[in-house]
Amino acid sequence: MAYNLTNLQVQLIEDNRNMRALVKAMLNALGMNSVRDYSNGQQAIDAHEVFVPDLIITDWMMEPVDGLEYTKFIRSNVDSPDIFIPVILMTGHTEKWRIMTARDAGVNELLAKPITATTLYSRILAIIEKPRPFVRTKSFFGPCRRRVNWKDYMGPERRADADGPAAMMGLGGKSGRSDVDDVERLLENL
Amino acid sequence: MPRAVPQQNNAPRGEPGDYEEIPIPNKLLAKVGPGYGSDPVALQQAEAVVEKLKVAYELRLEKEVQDLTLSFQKMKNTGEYDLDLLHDVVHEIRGEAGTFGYDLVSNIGKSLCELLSPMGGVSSDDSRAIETHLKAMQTVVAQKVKGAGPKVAKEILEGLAKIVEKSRD
Repeated sequence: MAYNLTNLQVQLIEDNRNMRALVKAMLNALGMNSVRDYSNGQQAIDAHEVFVPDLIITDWMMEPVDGLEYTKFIRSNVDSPDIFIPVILMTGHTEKWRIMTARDAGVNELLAKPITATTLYSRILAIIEKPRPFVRTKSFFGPCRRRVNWKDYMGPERRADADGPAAMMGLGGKSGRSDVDDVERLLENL
Repeated sequence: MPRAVPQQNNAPRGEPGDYEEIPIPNKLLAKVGPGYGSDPVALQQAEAVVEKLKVAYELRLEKEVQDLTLSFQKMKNTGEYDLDLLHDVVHEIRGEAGTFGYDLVSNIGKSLCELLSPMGGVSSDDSRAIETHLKAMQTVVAQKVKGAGPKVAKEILEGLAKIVEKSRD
């Protein structure tokens, strides 16, 4: 028997109108009838008085409050309606340092764009079926960041360390003309 | 590395009390259960939603890529480049394209984002590199190439990757 997602209260936050409509339509089709959508984190915060979500699905890059800032608000602000609300972060940025940054903000699941019905559904099921305990350290509060066999974790202990961001991107320079010509030639054969 | 034998772990560990594990009740399961696994019918319905929106998306994609190209041409003509704007538009196109089955557009967009991200100014070589990406995107959209595309598509992506790599030298 499948889960009954009808009454799950979902906040969907995405600044791209088309993407927002698409994801909302997918959530509705998956059986979630109580989905409220917002174009940034501030709108979602303002809505807490009337709508406390069971699940948050948010984009990363938005203004004035982005998805990470909103996650941090949920996890640590005194006005948070529930510091344990699961958060799924949608993002097209899948570089390792970004994933670590999202994880360290307290995100439960990462949903890489392009989003499909299958990947969206699988992240929601992961939240339902494989919830992780929460962890509090000097510098972190959120879902346990050790995804596999967290009870038997035998790797280096980093929980007491500060959680600094990883490598940043470098600065660019020249580009190759011959490669440009090659691509243009290939395009003629597409 | 074996993870199930505690005495083999010599890595430094945090002081006791530095962290606390907080088991929490599974509120979501309580609300949606009992049940298990995915619902194939619901998943099919969600996939049908995407399919239904595809036609409108294809028209919009064509216009978005056209507008992006015009926007870049305007920047090139005036010499005033708004690389953040370009990056944001490409990023959005890239995110949506894959959802609707335009994986090649998505991958070209990814390459263009990688090209634009570290860019401070725009040299003539940079400009040509951007234009090549835009031309690739336009061609793929005009020909409605879905999925990963034909064999030559892979070579195009490899060529674009080389351009991005050289732009960082």
